[in-house]
Order: sequence, then structure tokens, then C-alpha cells
Amino acid sequence: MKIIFCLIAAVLSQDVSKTTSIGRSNEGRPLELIVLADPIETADEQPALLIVAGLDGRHEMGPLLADQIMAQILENHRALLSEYTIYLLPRMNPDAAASNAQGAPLIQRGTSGNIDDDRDGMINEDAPRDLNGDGMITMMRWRDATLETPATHLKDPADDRLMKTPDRTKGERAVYSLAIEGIDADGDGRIGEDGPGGVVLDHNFMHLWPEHQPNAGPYQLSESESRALAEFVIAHPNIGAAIVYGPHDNLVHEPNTKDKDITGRIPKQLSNDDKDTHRLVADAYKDIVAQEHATRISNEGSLHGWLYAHRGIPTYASTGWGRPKPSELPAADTPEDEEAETDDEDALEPADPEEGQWLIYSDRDRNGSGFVAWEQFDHPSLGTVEIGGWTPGFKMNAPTEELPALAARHAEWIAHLTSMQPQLELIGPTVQAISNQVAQIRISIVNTGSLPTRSAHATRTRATTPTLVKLNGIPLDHILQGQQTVQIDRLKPGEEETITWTLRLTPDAQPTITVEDSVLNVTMERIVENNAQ
Amino acid sequence: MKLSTFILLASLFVLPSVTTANAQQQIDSRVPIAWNRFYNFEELTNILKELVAAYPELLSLEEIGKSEQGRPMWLVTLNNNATGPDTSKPAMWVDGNVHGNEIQATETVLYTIWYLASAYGQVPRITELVDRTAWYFVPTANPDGRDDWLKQAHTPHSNRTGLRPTDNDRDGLLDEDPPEDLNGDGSIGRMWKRDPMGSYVRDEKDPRIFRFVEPVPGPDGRLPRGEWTLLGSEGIDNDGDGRINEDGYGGYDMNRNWPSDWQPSFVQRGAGTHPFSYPETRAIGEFIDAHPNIAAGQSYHNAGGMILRGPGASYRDRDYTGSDVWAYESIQDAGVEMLPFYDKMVIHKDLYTVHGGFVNWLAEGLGIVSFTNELWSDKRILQTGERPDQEARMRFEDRILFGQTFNDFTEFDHPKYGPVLIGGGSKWWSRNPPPFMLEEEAHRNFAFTVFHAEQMPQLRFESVEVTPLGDDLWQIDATLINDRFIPSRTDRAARKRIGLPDFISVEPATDSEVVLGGTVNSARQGGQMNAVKQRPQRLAVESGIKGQTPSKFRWIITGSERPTGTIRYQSQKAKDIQTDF
Repeated sequence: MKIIFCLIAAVLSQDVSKTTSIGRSNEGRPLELIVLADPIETADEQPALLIVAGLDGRHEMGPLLADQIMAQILENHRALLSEYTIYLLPRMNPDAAASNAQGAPLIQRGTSGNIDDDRDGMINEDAPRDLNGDGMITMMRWRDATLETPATHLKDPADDRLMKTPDRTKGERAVYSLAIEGIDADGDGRIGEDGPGGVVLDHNFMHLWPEHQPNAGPYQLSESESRALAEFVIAHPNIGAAIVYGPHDNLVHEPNTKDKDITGRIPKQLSNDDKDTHRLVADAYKDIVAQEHATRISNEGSLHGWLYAHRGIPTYASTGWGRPKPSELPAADTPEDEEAETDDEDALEPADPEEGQWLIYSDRDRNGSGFVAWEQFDHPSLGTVEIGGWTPGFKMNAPTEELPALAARHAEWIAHLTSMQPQLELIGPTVQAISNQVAQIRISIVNTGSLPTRSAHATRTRATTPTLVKLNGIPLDHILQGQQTVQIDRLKPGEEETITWTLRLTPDAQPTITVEDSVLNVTMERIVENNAQ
Repeated sequence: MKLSTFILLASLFVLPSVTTANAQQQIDSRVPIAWNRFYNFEELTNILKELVAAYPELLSLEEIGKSEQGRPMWLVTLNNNATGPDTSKPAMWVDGNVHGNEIQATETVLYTIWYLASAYGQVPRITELVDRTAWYFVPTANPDGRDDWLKQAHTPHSNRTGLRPTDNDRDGLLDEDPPEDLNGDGSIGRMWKRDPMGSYVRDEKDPRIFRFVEPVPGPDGRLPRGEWTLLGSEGIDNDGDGRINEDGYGGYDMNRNWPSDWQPSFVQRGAGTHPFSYPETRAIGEFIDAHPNIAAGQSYHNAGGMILRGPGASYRDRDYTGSDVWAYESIQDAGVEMLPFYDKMVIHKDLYTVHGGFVNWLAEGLGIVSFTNELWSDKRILQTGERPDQEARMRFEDRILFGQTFNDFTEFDHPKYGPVLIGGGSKWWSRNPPPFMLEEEAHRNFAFTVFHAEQMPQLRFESVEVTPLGDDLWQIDATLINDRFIPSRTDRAARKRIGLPDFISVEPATDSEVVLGGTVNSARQGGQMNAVKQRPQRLAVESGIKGQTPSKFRWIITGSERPTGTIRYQSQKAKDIQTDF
């Protein structure tokens, strides 16, 4: 499937795409950058949308989706490329992808670097193990008669495949111990606590960086992958918006707009002043991509968190795919329809209803492939245990056959997003003589797009240069009122800013006005008509 | 351990050495260096190369990176290989001059290298210290800034930055409006304009002094006015934005570019785009990250006479706890006595808030006890330790410095302001010791850093006892002592699980099995064992060995006869030790 799309892309992409790299992974694999622009030579002269996928090795659908979105854009939305550049980084963690492609039972999430997770001076000496040989690392549950491992869970009364923590108000008591599938290879009393895998890239960026969390890295951007990505962003001020495909979401669930970080200066998720704009894009996402569910995870140290909170770049985090609504059971299976519904209402709700829905979806729509049924296993040190649980990656990755249709919807949303981008138009300049050789000059700058020229937060981060309006061709001491260079921090959709200068305008002067915007990547020049005599 | 014990120990070393006791205090060096002058980058490089060539058995020089403008980032390692590789010993980090204008920091680092290398073998106290520690020195963390400050026209405060062109006024242009030496006196002075609505008058006796006119109504009820207005530092409006000198060379602060509590530049001015975003900080950061044996750190700055410790922000106060604060303050207290008119301070409380500062990274990120010393205080000018007023400073200028750090005011026709006066204190005016006081400043701070380095953890077994429990069971009790202020693992390191814990292992030589192992509470807490049955032969010691209290460990082992063997203690920040039982 992927090969076919790549072929289509290759044929369609002549003159509008270019593949290079922004650096290399820890193991030396290129960090692929696909630039789309029409014509490709104008890529760095247009405003740009950054799309990133594959930072988290578990999100295996991300790179596949990114490839197919690219193919869709080339096939169905190619016109947008003559105004917008897309910088696509589809495989930002190629080491994890390569490791996972080999089919090892343990899915690698972070970089290929090694972490001494249990800090005993030995590396990867106690990795989780596929004890039952089903090709996956799942979970183990057991009743620990020795009291050595404290019981923490019980079977969920709603579905005994699910495990839950006890609700003491209901008199529940933990009877099961729960651990990842493995043994205590290093004899420290813990199971599978030091396996391969390095820094989690989405914990390695600056915003709310979880210092001292082992997989967050020794310092921010400690990994070649995250550093290359950040440096690419910093070197490309024309990136006006970004989409990150991975485990994070800020589209299905509205981000928190109240909480600030410890300095009180940086929104943890989204500034209240950017809420409406964000909602506009998120509503379009829910409408076009039609995703209803997404997991909620912390944005500490994440790429999307950094892009917005420190750079002010409007950034959309998408899981690409969310839990689908499970199919209704065919009517034939429930002859007494109404009674069955009544039963459903009486049925116990699982402790985590979302988990319950995933199970139903797995059972009805995926032939149960999402959950490995618990089966007894004779564990070398724990005695009889059961091994089972969620199929790794099941809840994060769409079935491959759904990707083309999904990619088509994502591409449509992306095309919609670019159609909303800010645009600058100039009105004027006008020249109004006040007296002999004294004149007032005015020019108006209007944002005719549907999104602001900068996020509200960008005017605080000051990470980008504002829109600059410069009056040239006039000696500085002839500007009687007004600045030679005027900075416009932000224009909302439809907002117009008028700039006025009062000048000594001698007949030989040839004033011009330039408007530059490094994010929208435009420079416009207007000649001021000089009628002075 | 108290200072008196320390002096006693030191004298034990000194007494037997007759030659040293009778010699003058001055030490013989293979490299004579004048300590009453400042050195530019070429001179500094030559000195380092000469020192390393003269003391190859102790010193090595490496280039850990290049500055923005391509100057080598020099790092000197001092280590006696005969007593083990540097990475096997607790190491003292010493750097200076991360702010380009804070230049005497470099001479202080150089002096430290020079003194330690020269005194080794001559001064027993230094020999003993050098033999059991390693030292890493970066004499200038900002070679571009330093060289520019020394060679170009500057103020005492300009060129704190490195020299990567940076847009400070958000007009899309880089470094396009720097200050200029308009009157050609080799200095960036201050510009004054005659102004009937001004706030200053010139002193009648000494017109070099501009005196602020307090806005207190006179007998007639009117506010008094001065005759002069301060326009700012010397320069013109190069880019025509109405402002002067608002986008000079560089324009950032590399001491806000470190990973702990790093904040973006809209929260912390000058922070850069991300930690280690400058080649200078990256080179240093990667070196330190790769050397977990660094147990103490000193970063030299100027000025003000301060011994600063973290945190840089109030919300990190809780990160400095218990025995860490005790170690920090004990060393600071010694410093206050050794360094005249220096104060012990906490950065955010007593100075200002700093996010992403260097010593904050060492302390909070890496668990390294570290200080920033602000070298030189104008309290050294008078004999009383009081700050000199303007008149006293001028008398010092005239009588002691012979007017060398002041530029007389000259008239200049400024393109924007018309006739102005330009002059005032030169770049040497306020932040550096005069050359004749440089050596004392360097020596006292070097001595403080020696004191600090001596406080890096030094462990020993106080006792090991083997007790028969009967039934072929034996109890082994080991007590460890750290004879210094700094713990082998700071509280910060222990609580945030920084680096590896220490490990203590028992290795029986007899046919024995280690059944249990663990720490033992103090007698006051009941003297009980916190037994670990998993891997009891090698216990992780997360909190390390503190300076105040003995640490006790116990094992229960089997054996048909009295067991013998070895107990080994390993620590990233202390020299490993072992003993037989």
C-alpha cells in the first residue's frame, strides 16, 4: 500500500516536491524532509505549514498517514501549493520505526539511545519478555500468595478482562498483582523495568520539560532528532502553523485556556486570547475529519506544546484517528429488541467506560484482535499467572485499510486550514498636501484571511518579527511625524491598520513604502506619488 | 567538621616538612606570570600553552568547541595521573567570564591553574588536595566577548553578551544600531546635554561629577531644576528608528542559556531560543554532562563582592533542603571570612531572579554544590569597607589611579541632540580591580575555591565488625564517614534521582551467601536494619554519605567459619574505597 502511494506521489510530484533531510537520527538515519511547493523553487518564499509525524514509535500510523496525506494533497489539493509551502517531516524517529519494523515484541517508543531505567549501573538488563511466545508484550495478572508483590487490582465486575483499582467505598479489595509481561532478570525484585529504548522525543522539548524524568533526556533537545527539528523551526520563520500527528490531541478536546506555567507567564496549553481561533480550526477538524474520540495525555515536553507556548505558532495536535463508534449488533442477534436494550441499561458500566467501548469495538469490529485473552502461564518465579491484555498499539493505530479514506479527510482539512490563512492587502498609499512641501501620507494594511496574522500569544513570545511597514527614500529628518519603521504585532481577520506620516516632501524625493512580513513571507512595495512642487 | 579540625589536620602535614616551613610563602613556578595585568585571548592562549608545556605531569589542554566567531574554547584538566585517572576522582569545575565584560574572572581561573600546578610538590596541603581530586578549568566561557571588550571601545557594562548577530529591536535587522565612540577617546562614554529642565547639575568643585537634583520644593514652593540631562551611552541612531544603541552587537545572556529552569526569552531576557543554543554553552554543557565525577563548581563573574548560590527563582527554594543548605552555607561562611567585603547570598532573594543560570543547572540539574562569585567590590577602595561616594571615588581616581580610568568630558556635535558632552568613567571604571589589586583578588578567591574543593566528599570506613549470630550466620557492620561538608550525593540528587546512586557491596572471600543487607538507623532512631533481600550484596545508597553523620550498613551472611572478604563503596562523586574484613 505504502509503495503504491509513494509511486503515485513520485509521478504527481515532479516540480512540486523535493526530499532532503534535516539531520540524522542517533543511529545515523536521515531525518526526512519533504518540501511541497508549486513551483518547488518558491518553497522558502511562501508562507508554510509544518507537518510532523512519527516522533513516537508507538504511533505507527503517523508516518503512513503522512505519506498518504501528501499523496492526497498532490492529487486533489495541488492548487494550495502555489500559495503555501508544506514542510513535511513524516518520520521523525526512524530508529524506533526501524526497530519496530523488525517485529520485536517490545514496541520502541523513544530514540535508540539507552537509558539505565532502574539506575543500577547496568543497561537494558531486565527488558520485558514475550513469555508466551505470542509475539507481543502484554500484561501479567496473578494472585500473589506470598504477599511479596502488593495486590493493586481486581477484575472489573463489568467485564472480567478489564482490571480496575478497588473502590473502597464499595467494599472492593485488591486481589490481583499486575505487571508487564516478563521476569525479574536482574534479581532486584522488579519485573521488566529496564528494557531498551531511549529518550521519548515528545518529552524532550522546552515547554514544561519534565526535568529529571528519565525518558525526558538529560537536558532539553538532548537528542539529535529533537534538536534538528527545533533548529529547523527556528530557521524557518515562515512556518505560520503546524500540525503534529502523534499520541497528543488538542482538536477533539478543547485545550485548557486557564492554567499558566510556574512563571505565570506561559499558558500551559492555550492562551484564552487564542481560544476562538483555535476553536475555528478544531471545529473544522471535527467536521471534516469526523473524529469523535481522542486520548488525553500531558503535553509536558511535547513538540506541539513548545511550538505554541514558546514560539507562538498555532499548532494542532492530532491523533490522526480516534476510537470509532462500535457497530450496532445486527437485529437478528437481538430478537427481543426492547428487552435487550433494557438489559444494556442494567449492564454494569466498566470502571473506565472508554476502555469498555474499546473492548466492544474490538469484539464487534476487529474480530477481538484488540485484546489478547488472558491465559494461564507457568511463570518461572511467580508460579501461575495469566498473560493477556490490550494488543500493543491497538488503541493508537487505525487499521491500515482505513488509512486512504482517513488521509483524504485529513488532506481536505489541511486544504481548508490553508484557505483560512491570513493574507495582507494594502490600501493606498494616499498623499495629502498640507502646505507647500509638507504632506501627509497614509497607507492601510488589511488582513483579508480568516485567521490572524499572528496568534495572540505570539505577540507575547516575540519569537517572530512583526509585520514591518517602512518608509524609504526620505531623509530621516524630513519625517516630521511618524517612525521610519512601524511594527504591527498582529492583525485579526478583517482588521485594518492605518499608518500616517507627516513629511517634508521636496520635489526631488522619491518615497516608497515597503511592507514586509517574515511569517507570511511577503514583501510589498508601493511608490508614493510625489506631486510636490 | 569544623574549621579548627581542619587547621589541625593541615598543620600535621606542614610540620614535618622543614624546607617548606622555613621557605618564604612565595612559590617557585616554572612559568613566571605577572598577575597585575589582564590578558587578551592570544595572550591567554599562550599562557595556557606554556603552563601545559611546563607541567605536563599535571596539566592538559583541550579544545572542547569553538566560539561563535571561531575562537577555541579552551579547557584545562589538572590531574595527577599517578594517583588515578581524572574520572576516578571527585572533580572541581571552575570557569569564568561567561559575560564578556567580566574579565578578571579569567585571570582568577588562570591564577588558580598556575598556583595549583606550581605549588604541587612544594606546598603539602596543595599536593595532598591535587593528589586526591581532579580539576576542570574553562578560563573564559565567552572568548569572543572578552576579546572584543578588551580591544574595542566599551562601557564597564557592555558586551555581557556573546557575538552572534541578533535582532534585539525586532526590525528584522541584526546588530544594526550599536554604540559608537563618537569623540574618539577609545571609550563608550555617557552623553550629557545642557537642559534648563534637566535633573542634574555639575559639581562646582569637581565638574566631572554630575549631581542629581532631588525634586524637593524649595522655600518658594517651586521644584528646583538642574542644568543637564543624561542622554545615555555614546552613539547615534544608525537605523533611524528614533532610538539610540538599541540593537548592538549580540544582545543576549549566555548565563540564562542552561537547562535547569530555562525559560524562553520573553520570560527571561537574553535566554536564547533553547538551552545550549550557543556554541560556547553547548561545548561546556556537553563536557559537564559527560563528567558525572564533577562534585563541586565555581563560576567567576564580576562585580559586587558576592558568594552566590541558587536557586535563581523563588519557586525553587524548596529544591534546596537539609544537608545541602548546610553544605552550601558552611562553605559560604568560610568565604565571607576569606574574601573581604563579600556577602553570602541566595540569587533570587538577595540579587534578582535568574532562570536558566549556570550554577542553577549544576545545583538543581546535576546535584553539584556550586557558587557564583562576583569578583571585586568598590568597598575595597576605602580602608573602612564603606562604599565610596562620588568625591571619594574621584580622589581614588586622582591619587591612586592617576586618572587612568576616567575620560574627561569633551564637546561633540551630535546629529540628533546637537552639542553634547561625552566622557566619564572608562570601561575600567567600576567592575574590575585596579591591576595592583588583581593578584590579591585572584589569590583570595582561588583560596576560597581550594577550600570549596577540599570539601568535596572524602569517604573512609570508620569501622567494620563481624559478629557471630550462631547457626552459621554472621552479621557484618560497616560504618562510613565523610570527612567533608559536601555529601557524596546531595539531597537534590537523591530526591530527583540524578545520576547513579552510590553502591556498597560486600564480597565474601569465604564460602558464604549474603542473605540480607541494608542500612542501619542511628541508635537514636532505634538502630534497626532496613533489610533488603533483593541483591543484598550490592546495595544502592541513594542518599549517599553525608558530611554530618556516620552511615551504617549491615549484612547477614552465612558461613561455617568466620567470614572474610572485601567491602567496596562506589560513588560517582567521591573516590571509590574498599576495606577487608
